[in-house]
Amino acid sequence: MTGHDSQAGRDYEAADDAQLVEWAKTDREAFGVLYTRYVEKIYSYVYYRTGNHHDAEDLTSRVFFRALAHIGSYTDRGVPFSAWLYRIAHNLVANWHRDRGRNQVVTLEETMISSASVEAPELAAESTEDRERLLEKIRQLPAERQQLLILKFVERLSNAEIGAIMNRTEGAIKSLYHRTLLSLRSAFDDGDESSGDGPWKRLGF
Amino acid sequence: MLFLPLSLLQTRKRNPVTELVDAHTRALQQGGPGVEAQLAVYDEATAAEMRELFALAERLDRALTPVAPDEHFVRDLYERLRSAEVPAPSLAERIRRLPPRKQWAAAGIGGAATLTVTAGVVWIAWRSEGRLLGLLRRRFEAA
Repeated sequence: MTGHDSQAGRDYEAADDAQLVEWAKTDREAFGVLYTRYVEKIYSYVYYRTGNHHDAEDLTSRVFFRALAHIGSYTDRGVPFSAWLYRIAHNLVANWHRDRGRNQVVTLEETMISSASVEAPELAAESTEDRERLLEKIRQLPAERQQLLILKFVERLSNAEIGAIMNRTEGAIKSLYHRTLLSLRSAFDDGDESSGDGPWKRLGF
Repeated sequence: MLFLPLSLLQTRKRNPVTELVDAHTRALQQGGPGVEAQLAVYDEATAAEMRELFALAERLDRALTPVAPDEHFVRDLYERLRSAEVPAPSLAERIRRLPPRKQWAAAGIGGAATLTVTAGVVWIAWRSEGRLLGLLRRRFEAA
């Protein structure tokens, strides 16, 4: 967004989010910098919640268009700008699930092909099936637990940051995380009972 | 001071197992020292259960990795956002964005304007009705 409504003398790259948001109300260049900072994070979040690249691209576009349309009314209430963006993404994903009435499973192949992180080949080969099964179980969790796991592991946010997005205290986030791990473990136990495997064998333990 | 009792209550309610599971994940992600040694204070069954949760967190950490969007998509969206026309906010939206004191002032102005228009309509109706009644009275008298 170079040159579009940009204001001379502004150091966009050095500015923090709060400053950029104020500028972005009248300056498209500042909004472009915010976009560049968060597009990959929002895309990643939406991708794990929808399960495919096509819908992830569509919803990511909608998140930023909605942010652009409403940034003029954004007021800093002590919640980071990123939390505001994640909330927009969360609401759009929730509408998407409601409209379609489905929960797609992210195939591991897709995840591995497009994964931004580089892993050791032997580790990837060893864990392909386990990862696919794990992702399937995650997709079966309630939306807020999926959201928590994505924010914690994919986005690597702290409990405080997750709390700001989910509108909960840090203590509540820790508690929800613990309960999520327990329910995930139970999901594997139930699945393993029916398949006859040991409780943790299918997870690779 | 008002929040002290609540914070004390929250401190009391803290579950050490929850805290330890969280500390393990933090150490996992930030490369800090592990929390295995802290399991020594728990009985064997609890320690075994916690080791299972630690292992599950490690699996999650390996499985949930960032997914990069297509570069073409990122550039294209950037351009679309750059050239997008943002619709002008409606009057209601503009009032909603005002600070509370100005919102009250706007509500006062709006209320006064509504009252003035209503009074005008009533006055015109009253005058019209007066004329109409006068006209009817004259006709009846003439008849």
